[in-house]
Amino acid sequence: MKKIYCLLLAFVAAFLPLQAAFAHHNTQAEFGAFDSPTIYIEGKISRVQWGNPHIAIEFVTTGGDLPAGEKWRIASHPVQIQIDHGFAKEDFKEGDIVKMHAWKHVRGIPQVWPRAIQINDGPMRSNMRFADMIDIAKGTFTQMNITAAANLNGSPVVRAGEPYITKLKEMGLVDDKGIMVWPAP
Amino acid sequence: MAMWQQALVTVVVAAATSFVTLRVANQPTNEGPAAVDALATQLAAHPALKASFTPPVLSISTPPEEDAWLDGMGADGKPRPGPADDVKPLVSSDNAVCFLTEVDVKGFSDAGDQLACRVSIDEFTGFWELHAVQGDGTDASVRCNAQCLSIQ
Repeated sequence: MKKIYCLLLAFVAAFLPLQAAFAHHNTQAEFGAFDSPTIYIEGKISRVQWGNPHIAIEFVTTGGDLPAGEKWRIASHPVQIQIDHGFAKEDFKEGDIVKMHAWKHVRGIPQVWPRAIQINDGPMRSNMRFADMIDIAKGTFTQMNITAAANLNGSPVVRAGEPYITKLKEMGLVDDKGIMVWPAP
Repeated sequence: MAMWQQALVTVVVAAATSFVTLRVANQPTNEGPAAVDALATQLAAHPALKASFTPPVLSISTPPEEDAWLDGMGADGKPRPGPADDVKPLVSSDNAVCFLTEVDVKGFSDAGDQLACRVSIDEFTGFWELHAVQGDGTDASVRCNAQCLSIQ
């Protein structure tokens, strides 16, 4: 019976449309454009879900631009991309204090996507290499006191957006293959 | 009590009972509902009752523009097996109930493959969530979507 059911499912699946996937969630559709304003949040981690397709970290707000005592969730990259940005699973533990610049979910859901995260007394680390590119192009990156994403150097700049790519090229930060060069040569 | 007094009381009680019975029995048939209607109208217009008995409004959400989904094959053409659980928050569970509206699977080729779509309430945020789940080692694909019925 189980076999027949599986065959039936496979038969049905064969007629479903295929859709290519080049990324998982459309971050900008859910949290706003990479160059849109962020809010500042402080909170205490309640739970860490380190898994695919997206890492999720639950926290209770303690300060910043959100009222204290609210329950929010960080949505972030798939595991490998999170590691590529310079983070490790061991970096996040229940009870840790987090401070972050983040984009709020556009539909009013209690969820944020961090632009940059500071854990306990560590540095404020970038969680979005394309936002780094934008802020470098805008000339605001240095004053933000954010450590650049670990994968910023060597990343294709295409998702930063055309005006910023032009500026980065003028600044000599893009090679002839469209790859970001950082720190500046 | 003297006999004549007992008789008098009996007569008076019997007369009163008969009078009331006749009044009730001879009441015009359309007077009762009309009076009730008038009373109902007065009650319905009372501000306190209007505030208490505002009828609930049901509304249904539009499904998220993007499904909850997991692809068993990456953009590079290589298998991308589970375990994985793609979660999409829906609405607050305070006054809503959510239900699945889409369950699509693709590449389901092995009896050990495991895919699932679920709606559940997240205990942390109190929001309904839509889950697309890929079992351990499953490289088949799944897409799920849901809508929610809210009471205002």
